[in-house]
Amino acid sequence: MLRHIITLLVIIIIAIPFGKAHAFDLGQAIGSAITGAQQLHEAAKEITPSEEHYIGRAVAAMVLAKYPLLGNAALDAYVSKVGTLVAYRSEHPVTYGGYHFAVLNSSEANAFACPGGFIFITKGLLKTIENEDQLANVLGHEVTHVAKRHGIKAIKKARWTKFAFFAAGEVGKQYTPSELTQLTQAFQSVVTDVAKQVIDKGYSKKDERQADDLGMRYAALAGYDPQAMATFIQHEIALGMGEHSGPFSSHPTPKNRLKQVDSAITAEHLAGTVASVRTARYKRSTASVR
Amino acid sequence: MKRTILFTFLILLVATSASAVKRQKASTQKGPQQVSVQVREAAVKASPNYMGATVGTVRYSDRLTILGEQGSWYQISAPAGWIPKNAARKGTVKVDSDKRYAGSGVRHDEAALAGKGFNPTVERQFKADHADLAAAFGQVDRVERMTVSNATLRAFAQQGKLNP
Repeated sequence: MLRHIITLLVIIIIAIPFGKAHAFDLGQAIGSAITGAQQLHEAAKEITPSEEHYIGRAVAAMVLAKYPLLGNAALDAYVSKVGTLVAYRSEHPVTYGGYHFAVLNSSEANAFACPGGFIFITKGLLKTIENEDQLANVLGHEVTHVAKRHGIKAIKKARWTKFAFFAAGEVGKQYTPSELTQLTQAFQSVVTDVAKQVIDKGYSKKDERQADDLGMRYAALAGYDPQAMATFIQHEIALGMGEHSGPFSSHPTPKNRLKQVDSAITAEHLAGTVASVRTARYKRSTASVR
Repeated sequence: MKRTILFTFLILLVATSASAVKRQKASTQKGPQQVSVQVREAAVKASPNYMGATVGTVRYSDRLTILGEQGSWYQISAPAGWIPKNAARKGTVKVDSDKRYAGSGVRHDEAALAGKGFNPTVERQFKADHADLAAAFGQVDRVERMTVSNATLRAFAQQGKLNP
């Protein structure tokens, strides 16, 4: 107990010079100490949007090292328009560097959501998707992984706590070579944790369920048919995708996903229609990969 | 003895905490709420709608005065308009002065994020340690340069019979 009292005294003594009062104000000193302790606690768990952006850039680089860009500017632009309209309807409509969408040159049917808003979809998945409304729902699913920071959750707590205390330094400070080395090592660890989740392991079943649920709602708010999420999953089942192997192995089984999506659509009266004008432009825009 | 010390400090702590809380409450009642921009930049909209006209831009660390709220939007005074709530945070986002970097060729990001954890300086070191990722980082830069204008999005939504 005495140790706790001494600790409190030390905090007060440290906090006094930072107080705004010119005269000694014990109340303010203790208030500052409490605030300081809260800030340290916050620092240990908070990742700023700018840090999320730089983590996301490095994770995106790892994705692109494995699956290069297709490099079809018109197709990227089309996917970006659909994705941006859906992302605008999420609870996290802006990120530090904005949402960015691009198509990967891979026949594997897959999609990746990196922290900060870098979202990739393979040409293989575009080939599987039947219309723009399904694409909007799939991109809504990926946007949810960004908006709900599912990738960031993969960072091992011990790494982050250690880094946060180290990084809570002076604003505008130029890092010493030693600090830069330590920070870069911490960055490497954090990026590895997230990349493993995004590229290899996939998100938890709980996060995948949330991505289905919210992704469908974001698409509906943009004006797309939420039922297209169910149609896409039915299509996956018909093609034998999404079972316990391949890129969707971390997802709940398609049958369970379908059940959940159908329940949400019925319970909340989510409705919409697949407009033929959108399906026509989807077919046109994706003709080169079909 | 230990008990006496503990008891004295507990009384002091309760009394002074109450005083601190009272001061904090008073400070929050002083005037309009202030927030700071926490994204690189955000478009200021004429109405609380992404598809609405853009009337200005705010940048990282800009201090803004909130006039009102509507759903997930803040109404701000200058430039007069609306920004998404998640583009800003309560309190101050401290940055070093850009002036220190004037003429040095250092990007705004690098100056604004100096000393703030994972930033362009750390990324540069990471890239130096991972030469095998150089081409992939080049592709990331390319992806980041892809943007869709507001006018294009509006036309795309309208043509596709989507919500305005």
